[in-house]
Amino acid sequence: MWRMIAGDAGNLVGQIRRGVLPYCVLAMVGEKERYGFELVHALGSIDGMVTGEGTIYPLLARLRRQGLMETTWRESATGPPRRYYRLAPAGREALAEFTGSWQRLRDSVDDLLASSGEDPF
Amino acid sequence: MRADGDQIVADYLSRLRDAASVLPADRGNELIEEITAHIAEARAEGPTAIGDASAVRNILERLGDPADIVRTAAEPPFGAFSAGPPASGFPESRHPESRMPESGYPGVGRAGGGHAESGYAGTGPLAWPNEPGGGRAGALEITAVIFLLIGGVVIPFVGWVVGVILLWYSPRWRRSEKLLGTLVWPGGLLAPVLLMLGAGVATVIPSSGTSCSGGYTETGMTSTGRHFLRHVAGSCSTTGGGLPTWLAISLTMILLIAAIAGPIFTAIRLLRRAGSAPAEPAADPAALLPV
Repeated sequence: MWRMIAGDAGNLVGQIRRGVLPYCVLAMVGEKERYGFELVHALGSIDGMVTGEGTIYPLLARLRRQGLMETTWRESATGPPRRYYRLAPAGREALAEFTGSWQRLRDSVDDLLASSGEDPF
Repeated sequence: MRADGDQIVADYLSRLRDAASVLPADRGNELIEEITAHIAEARAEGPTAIGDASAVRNILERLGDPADIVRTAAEPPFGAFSAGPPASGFPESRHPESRMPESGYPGVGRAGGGHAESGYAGTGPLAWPNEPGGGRAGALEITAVIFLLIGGVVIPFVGWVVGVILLWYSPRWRRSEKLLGTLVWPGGLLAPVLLMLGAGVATVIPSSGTSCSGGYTETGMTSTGRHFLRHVAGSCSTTGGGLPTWLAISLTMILLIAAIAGPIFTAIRLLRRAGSAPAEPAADPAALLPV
């Protein structure tokens, strides 16, 4: 049986974050294509979203290999060429599916948490 | 000072390179390239204290420990992303990565809980990823390098020009690399081929022209009096141009080696930069195939 222990919630939040991060990346390239540094910088600026910005690069590579994102190289006026990411059709499908599930789960958990004081069972 | 910052970055990248040695070569190289580019972008974007050691430390701190980054690259993906793409319609033989397990690289701890069963099966068959600028050089880049190297030999000059056009058309290289590809050497391997032909002719002609191994060569074929006199003196070490034979041969050899090594070195460099060539090209010939 699974037992809750004090301090476990922090670990759980970490796991949730790890699970939703790929979908957050997909959502960020849904509207317009972005290059790696731009994506990583934006995600890194969201409080508590990532622990190390560098770990996002392997995730980008994985999403690309899985065909969820497509990439294009573009020259940069200032430095080396940049790899731009955009959502692939399969990624759009995966994101839509996740968005629905996430909203349902979030609403259900919110409801339960809000009502937990009123009706203990 | 900028030099301090450069040194800190070099140390960091060296640690990353060491850690990434447990990854397959192409993934490791790609990761190092991405992180290097990230640092360059972050430094360029920073305030006036671009090279300031503390600014650089801040960038690297945000990136995280190289070992953690590599562990993320090596560990099984989390949750729904754990399964690879569905097998239907995937040309396995063309994609070496698909045969590679996502986890279990030696020396890398597995941080945990991927479930291989929960995959993307629910979203229907995925199309083969269209990845023009993937982890390795695309067809465009490889074609460009091939034309630069031997295009000029197959279709004199024109083939090489096609290579140059493709080189400048591809967004995958910096301007400096494109300049390098254009200038070293114009014509690609056409120059050494011509040189070899030329050297062949040059060795045939003088040998017939200076058949005067003896001291007196009244029958010598040389036209000018100067040559004639030399021949009479019995010196056969002179060729038509007046260069000693050994020097002419040495110069030709040096020129030949440079003319062969130059284009090949440039080609390897361009392929590397395009993200293709693994550290040891012989180990994985498939890596050079267009994706």
